[in-house]
Amino acid sequence: MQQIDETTVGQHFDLETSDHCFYVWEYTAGQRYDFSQTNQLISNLKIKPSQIAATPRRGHYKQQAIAHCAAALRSLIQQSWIEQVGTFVPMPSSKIPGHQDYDDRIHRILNSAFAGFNADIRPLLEQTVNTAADHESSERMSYDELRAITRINPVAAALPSRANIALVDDVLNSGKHFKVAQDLLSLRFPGVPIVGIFVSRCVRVNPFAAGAGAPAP
Amino acid sequence: MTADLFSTAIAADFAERAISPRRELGAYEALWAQDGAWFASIAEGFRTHPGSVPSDFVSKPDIEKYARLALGAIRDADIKHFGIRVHGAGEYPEKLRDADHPVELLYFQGLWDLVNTPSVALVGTREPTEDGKARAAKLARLLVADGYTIASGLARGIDTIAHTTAIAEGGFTIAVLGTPITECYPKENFKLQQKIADEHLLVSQVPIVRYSRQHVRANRYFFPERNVTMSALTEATVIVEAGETSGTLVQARHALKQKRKLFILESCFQNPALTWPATFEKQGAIRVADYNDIKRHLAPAHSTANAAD
Repeated sequence: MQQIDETTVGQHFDLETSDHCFYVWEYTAGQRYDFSQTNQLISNLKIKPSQIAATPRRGHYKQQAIAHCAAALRSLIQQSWIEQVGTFVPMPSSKIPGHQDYDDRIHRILNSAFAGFNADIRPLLEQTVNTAADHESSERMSYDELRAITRINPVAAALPSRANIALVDDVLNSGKHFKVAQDLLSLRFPGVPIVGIFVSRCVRVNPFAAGAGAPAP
Repeated sequence: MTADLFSTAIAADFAERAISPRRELGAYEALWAQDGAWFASIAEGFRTHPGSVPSDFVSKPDIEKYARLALGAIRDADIKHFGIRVHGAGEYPEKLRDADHPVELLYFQGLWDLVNTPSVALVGTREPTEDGKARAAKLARLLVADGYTIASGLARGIDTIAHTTAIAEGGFTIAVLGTPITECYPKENFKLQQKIADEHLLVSQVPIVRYSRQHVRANRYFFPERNVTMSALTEATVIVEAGETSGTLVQARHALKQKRKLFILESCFQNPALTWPATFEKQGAIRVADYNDIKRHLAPAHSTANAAD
């Protein structure tokens, strides 16, 4: 697990230097799914339920990706932290339950990673309306727009959290989703330290170069 | 609780080993600043303490001091994007462990994942003959067409031809520097270095602070050391043309030691002034008359990894 620090925080524009975010691998933006193992992993992880409905074998790839991420998290987080210290909160789907593309992949990763452990895994956050996934949309939501449609699930939040909260997501991009979730959770659970755990952080090789983000020639 | 204490507590608690790139590069630079530090002595420290990372050996004030110095130099060099790889953290290439004194930390710029593509190192003299230049360009072109990434050392001569041909042919290239990422040698390759950093992959194991503090005579020893790492990063090395005392021969020796394929062009054998081709052939190098002889010995590259795909 690697920590976002001074060398990397500037690449995630919404994060602040005081945030505590950790990641396992690096996803390369602007390259195809087959450019790297991590690009392949994330691409498989993001296969939509509607795509699986159309082509059921793709469900197998998604399941494999979930298992791979789960194994990594299990090996990298201390058992005592899993069982006593942390409340794990999956980042919510961009669709609400009932939508054909409602995707609880992060929740499934956590359930798989900590199966057999006394882990506190709670979907504390949810969106109130369906939105296009940020990575597919040319017009990304602002922090304020995202915050306005994200809320704490009152049922899941009825019990207190453990001493720390870990927000878990698959890709750390700008850090906007993390910051919205951090803000909402710190209002609901004041004083509880919140860390971000990401399967990958998104790397833009040269965000300053002309044409950056375009696939390699 | 201050942010730093909080950070330490969380990191210690939460992950078995949370690596902070800033902390590790500061510690690596500090290790290199010690008197007598060299690849062998540093690697020995890690060999006798398996599972360690640089920050296990260095005090916090020293980590801080050297992180500031190195990051300051990186800013001064106007480097906008770079990363590091640390043994023990995600994405460190295990094949580097085949080197005699494997490096624990590398700086890089560009597309890191090119280290995972099938790659061949094309190396040779800084003063090639016209024939040598033509052979280097032809080999680079054919290797790119077959999906291989071309690695070289950004030196004058064969190295420059290897990189520029790979780029011109729409392939990928990796430059393994004998300088820190904050320096450029030779100066005439500044633009090429930048292009590789932006669109391909630039790798350096050379410590920024130590390099900046010592004389150019001492720094030239970093050049042959990068050949050891270049060999470990690639599946094969091709020597296009090299004299009896060429630094390229360091790579030849280590390629064989690391059980990488070493190809030597027939033209080298034909030169009566050279004894090294026969010596390396006896030790397992492969004598090649043309590209097909090389291709036969390489595992097929995946076409999807090719930039031209």
